[in-house]
Amino acid sequence: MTQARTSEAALSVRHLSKNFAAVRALRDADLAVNRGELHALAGGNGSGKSTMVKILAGVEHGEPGGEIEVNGEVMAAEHMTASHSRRLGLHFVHQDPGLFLHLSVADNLALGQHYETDVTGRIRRSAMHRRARDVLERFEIDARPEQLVGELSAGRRSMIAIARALQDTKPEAGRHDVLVLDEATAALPEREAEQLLAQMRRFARSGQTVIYVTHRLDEIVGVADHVTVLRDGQTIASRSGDGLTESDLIALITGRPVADVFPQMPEPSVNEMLLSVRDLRGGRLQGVNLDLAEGEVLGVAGLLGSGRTSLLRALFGDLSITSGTIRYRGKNVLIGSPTVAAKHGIAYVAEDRNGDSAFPDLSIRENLLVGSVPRYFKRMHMSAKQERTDADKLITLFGIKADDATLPLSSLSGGNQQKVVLARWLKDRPDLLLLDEPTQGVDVGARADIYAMIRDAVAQGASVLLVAADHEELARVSDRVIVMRRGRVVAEINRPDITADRLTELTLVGEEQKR
Amino acid sequence: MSSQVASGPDPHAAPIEPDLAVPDAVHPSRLFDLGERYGLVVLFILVFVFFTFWGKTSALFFTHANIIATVGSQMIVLLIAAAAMLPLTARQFDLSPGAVAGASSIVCAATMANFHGPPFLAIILGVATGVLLGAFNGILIARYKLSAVITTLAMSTALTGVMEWYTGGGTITNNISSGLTSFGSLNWLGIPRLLYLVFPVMVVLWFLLEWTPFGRYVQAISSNERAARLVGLHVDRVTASTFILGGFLAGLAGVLIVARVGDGDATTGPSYLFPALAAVFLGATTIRPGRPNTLGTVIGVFFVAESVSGLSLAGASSWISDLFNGIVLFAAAGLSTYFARQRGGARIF
Repeated sequence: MTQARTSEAALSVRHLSKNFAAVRALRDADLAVNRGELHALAGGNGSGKSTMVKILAGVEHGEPGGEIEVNGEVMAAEHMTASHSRRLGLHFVHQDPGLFLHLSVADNLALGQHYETDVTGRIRRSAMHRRARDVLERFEIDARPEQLVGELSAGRRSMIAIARALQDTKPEAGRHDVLVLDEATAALPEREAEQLLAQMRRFARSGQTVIYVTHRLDEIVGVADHVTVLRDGQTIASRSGDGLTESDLIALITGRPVADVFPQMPEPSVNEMLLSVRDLRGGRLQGVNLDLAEGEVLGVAGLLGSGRTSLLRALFGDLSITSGTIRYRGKNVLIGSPTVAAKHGIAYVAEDRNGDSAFPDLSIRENLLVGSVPRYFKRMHMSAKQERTDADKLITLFGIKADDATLPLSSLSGGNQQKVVLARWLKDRPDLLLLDEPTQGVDVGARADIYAMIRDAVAQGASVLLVAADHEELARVSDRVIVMRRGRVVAEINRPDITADRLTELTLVGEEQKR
Repeated sequence: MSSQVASGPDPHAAPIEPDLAVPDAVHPSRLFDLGERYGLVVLFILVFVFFTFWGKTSALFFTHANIIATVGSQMIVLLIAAAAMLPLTARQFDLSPGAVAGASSIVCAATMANFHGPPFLAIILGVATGVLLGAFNGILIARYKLSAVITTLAMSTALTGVMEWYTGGGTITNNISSGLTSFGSLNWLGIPRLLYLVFPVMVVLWFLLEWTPFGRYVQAISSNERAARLVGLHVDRVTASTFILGGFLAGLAGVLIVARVGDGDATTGPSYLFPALAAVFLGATTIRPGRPNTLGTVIGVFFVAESVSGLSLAGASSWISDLFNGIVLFAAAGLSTYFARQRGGARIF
């Protein structure tokens, strides 16, 4: 190990750039972290914060010219590897802590380091447990060595992962390690996230350097000692956490001042209601209320894990609900399975086309007609002629670029595959369209086609519940947008007020504005 | 610029899929496609012609007696292959049809031998045994999501034990209806009587899988079970049905074992399993390459049969059958995987 400088800097990143083909993910970005500091790394989607973490971890290489200095040792950003990162004393804990849930706490800790064995190679359980007890004590974790990790709460599991990463570090030995939490709180319930950060703060007080990446503003304000904000791959601000407000942060993250973040609650709709959901719970949903009028396009915004996908799946009968009511076309309905949902005229286009919608090796024709097979069973056989005619009609009607409907679906481009999936549902004129990222991984031209298909369906009277991470897209298409956060609808905005920036603000602070 | 921040997924994490046509290489030309589909049929004919004219086998191979004997001996294998094929069309393994056919043969024989039941009752009980065991497998696998391989292996093993126990390792031969045994071994119009039953059964199965909604459902489930569920198909019901129908066919095969062999015993049924599976896998390389299919299975059964028959006539002894089946399984596993991948699907087996 090179000689440590006397400076207080634990980690400093200078002139870090990273290009992915034409995309400049990081442009000359800096990060300076002092010893014993709880340092928040903030930024919106695509701001470059996850790229920076990946370069620190040695998973990606920076462009030449960038420098990473840890405890006085300087590495060129283009040469950083995972083993360098470890040697320099950087430790990472990710959103998925990567623990073995069916093994004990002691086993998990030992697997992160080594098992103590006797001469015959047998594991010395008592020594292993003793060491685990020391680690648990040192990191103030309320768990026993023999407990299964799967029995612990999510927050404690994250703590075990942190302890596993740091168990070998010896702060008193002069070497100074840095802990990086990469969205480690994103999957945690609110209270546990708070507890985890409180503990990180205590660690920082006792000299441990902690960097954490988050997009929840409430996890930064009043928590972090120091904040670095990235936007468009550049370091926009690096300032002390003292006196920082949420408005300041939003302005830094979105790049524009916050005039009024607080939207007006909407007037109750006077249109004919197609769907009314009350206190829906199940999966990630913590009591969702929403109304959807006939012919309305209702956008659903929210961060990953906010419950937006769970909402669609629950309405389609693909996720069992524990309580709440769904009123549909004027009647309370129980949607116990996708089959029931389809019978009610509800269509669902899932986010993951390959996993949830495509039959890649079946023909385009079969993919189009898979939901209405019995219709073609006439006079004791499948009417191939009728199928051919109808499929060809659909291909023309929905502008699917396919030369031959008997070719497998996998022969089409992503955009045309997605059109096939949509056409599969739209041909039956559904009343309610549940769309989860319908234009994901689709090029610009196909994106426009897909929105034209959706618009036509709406013109024919369909209502749409649209989930999209692209706020520009939501703002353009929706009549109204609800914002979800931690399984609840926390905000709602109507037509003239919907802008992408506003949606970004609301997904970030959605809950606080109510209080 | 601020909207840039707000919108869009991580630009580097999720690159936009290029909207280009897939290169030609993924989709074989028509000629190549035909070669795939009918390659095994051509090979079948070539092998047939070869043994007909090869000096060592020409005297005996293309004779009425040899052809009838070969066809007659394959009827039970064909039914068991069909029984194993059905769940495979929905991407579920079934290792039990051999043992189920064995159990059904014992029930059928024992009804006549030990309970002096009339032949028609023996036949019904034999077939019913197959249906019940198939339903048991199907419900455990489709409804309770048990692993198909392990469930059917367990079924197969347990049944073998029960059969050994019931028969004491011997055979049940008393009081077997002579009508049944002559149906199993004699000809009508120079054609094995069994063929008059098995041929229509295979036609119905072919029709069911190629020309009815059920066939489409099975294909969809095989292609992407989760997507099939999300378009509202009754995935569990269809999957269970493949096991129940497979059980029915295995039960029928059990009754035909009694008819052809003249007894019920614990070893005959299970011995058919691997030749049957080899034929199914081989069949999945032809007609509808990459998918187990009825016509392919029929061709698979007879391709193995004619090859083994020819090689035996040329002087190979009984080991040739196992060796040949093994080689066929290797070839089938490789080819069917290759074909399935070409069509963008996953490996089936």
